Amino acid sequence: MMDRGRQGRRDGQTTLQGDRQMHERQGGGVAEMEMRQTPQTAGATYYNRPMIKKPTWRWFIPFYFFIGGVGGGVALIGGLADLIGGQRHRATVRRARYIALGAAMISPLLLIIDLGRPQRFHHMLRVFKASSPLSVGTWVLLSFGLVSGAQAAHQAAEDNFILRRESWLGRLARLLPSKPLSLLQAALGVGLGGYTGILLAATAIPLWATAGVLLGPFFLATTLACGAAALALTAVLRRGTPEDDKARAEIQMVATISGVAQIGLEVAREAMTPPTIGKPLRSGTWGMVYRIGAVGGGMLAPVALRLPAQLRGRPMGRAITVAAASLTLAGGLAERFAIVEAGKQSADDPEAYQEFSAGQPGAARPTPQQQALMAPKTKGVKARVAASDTR
Amino acid sequence: MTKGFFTDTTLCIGCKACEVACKQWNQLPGDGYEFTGMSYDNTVALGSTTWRHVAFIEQMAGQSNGTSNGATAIAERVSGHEARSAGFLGENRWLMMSDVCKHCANAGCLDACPTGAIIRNEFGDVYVQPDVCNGCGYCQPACPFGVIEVSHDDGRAWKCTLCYDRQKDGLEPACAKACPTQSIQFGEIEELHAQARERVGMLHARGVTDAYLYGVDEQTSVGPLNAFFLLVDQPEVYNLPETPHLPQAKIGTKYLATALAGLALGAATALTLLGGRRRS
Repeated sequence: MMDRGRQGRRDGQTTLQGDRQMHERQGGGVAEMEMRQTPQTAGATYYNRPMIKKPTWRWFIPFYFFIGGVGGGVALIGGLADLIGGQRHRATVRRARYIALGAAMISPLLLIIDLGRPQRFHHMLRVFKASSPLSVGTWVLLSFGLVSGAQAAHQAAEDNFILRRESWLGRLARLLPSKPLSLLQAALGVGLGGYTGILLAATAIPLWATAGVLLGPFFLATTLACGAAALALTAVLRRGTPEDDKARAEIQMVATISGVAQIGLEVAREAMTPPTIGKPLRSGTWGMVYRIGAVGGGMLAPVALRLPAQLRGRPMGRAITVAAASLTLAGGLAERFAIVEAGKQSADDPEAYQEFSAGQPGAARPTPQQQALMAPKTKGVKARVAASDTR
Repeated sequence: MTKGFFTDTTLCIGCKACEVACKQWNQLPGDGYEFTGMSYDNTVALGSTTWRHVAFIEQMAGQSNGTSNGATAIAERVSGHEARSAGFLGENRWLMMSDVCKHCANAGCLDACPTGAIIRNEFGDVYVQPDVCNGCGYCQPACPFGVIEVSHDDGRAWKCTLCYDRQKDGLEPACAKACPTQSIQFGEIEELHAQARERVGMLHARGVTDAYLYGVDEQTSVGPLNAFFLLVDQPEVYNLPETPHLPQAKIGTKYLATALAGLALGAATALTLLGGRRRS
């Protein structure tokens, strides 16, 4: 493990390093043998110590990414179903509103527990900063909580569940404009599901930052897949009238569409991540959790399970519904944890960070002139004359 | 008027007076007695209770840093191998560098802070207000230099304040005051730039042709560093990134991409839910 830095190399990354490597190749005997075992200069690290600091977040944060994601996805589907889904989706809307409220209540708790100073959580509400996805997310989560609370209260009063329909509170809740709030809730669901991806991408962590613009959409696709899975799973015990079956088939279709979006975005993310940086998601424990759990089990398998019935236009069996939805949810959870933990590993790897911060125009390194001067002695003699000339 | 540090690593003798002065003035707790075996560096890295850190880099002929072993070096010397110009201190050299928060012109920690605890003060430096910070920890992965850290004991984020309190009283920061070789210089950033350029010119004229400035003229998204350095080897040898990126530099595109993805997925969902109604 500690030898990684010394074995690493970035061939010909700078002229200087190219020169040195050429020089090393020309060097003879014992030195050359030693050289091959411990490549020099190129890939130099400071005792293989991390160059940046990984986040100190505990398990609450990736778990929140999952819970908040389920809430966001459910809200998006439920909100749209309320607006255009018609009578058939009444049950979908009802369940979506209750699940969204549950997620909106658990999420802040997870976030506040993880703070270094939990009693100061309200300091987040001092400012709004578009430059900080965490600040944007705070306000999205707060609004999402308020809207979800209102929608769930409205639903409860309609259902005569906990909130009695004819009580003054129930009447008040039923006065809420639920259609506009549904639209708002759907939009906030998108915000809640997507901002966490932006939050990770806007850091110095090589694995997250190289995913760049893709991480937000990717997190959003997982959010929608998990939301659809949660709605499919909670609908499975309902007695099937033909109308109900149709509504359920539509939710399954949303699940498949978001599953395909997940796969597409994952392929793109993987393609644009260089090997050094992507290593923690490709091998090791979290790499396995990601590849087998998140991608294989959570994206490919559910789509493969649902597609046969969907292509033939047949109703889906209960076992397949439960299996696909459970796999999607478990995969979503695995994805959040694997991406956070693998990101920490990439932060600890100086080689990954060097690759991430290497060789851009305007980089902090000697000018070509200085690089020529820094080259081996044979060139150095000439160079020093040049330097004194410029004086 | 922006105040900052110019740290000239060619003058550093590795005495760690800056580390001690910083700890004393800022009343920072000790970090224990860990023996690392990394040359004379037992401080290891900047952190919540370490705001100055002296790095020690041992370079023997043909080797780039202290991670190489002595036998290799001897073998190389026997075979007459040389990988470095005679430049600074010749082919076998011991580099030292007092690292510190860079007080970036565009600071990742400041942009990331969701409470507004991290501010730019009247001296142009990046300062964490301890009475506001709630320890969310988002600044920590947002720093492209790995400087700021959340304290385990105290739960808040801490880093170099550039001795804000001393500056308010017209004093120079404790580390600069304590530095016995003027490796750490404090002052008006423009004046420091001029001094530093002069110093590089002088070093070049004297044959230390690998001297250059880090954090002055590079066009990076973090902008010029208010604590910049004179180095004689590649930045990564000192554990500095070649091109530091401001994490929030392209955040608008990220918001936009996510919003578009939201619209696309929302439209697909809506069509799916709507298509059923037409059929029924």
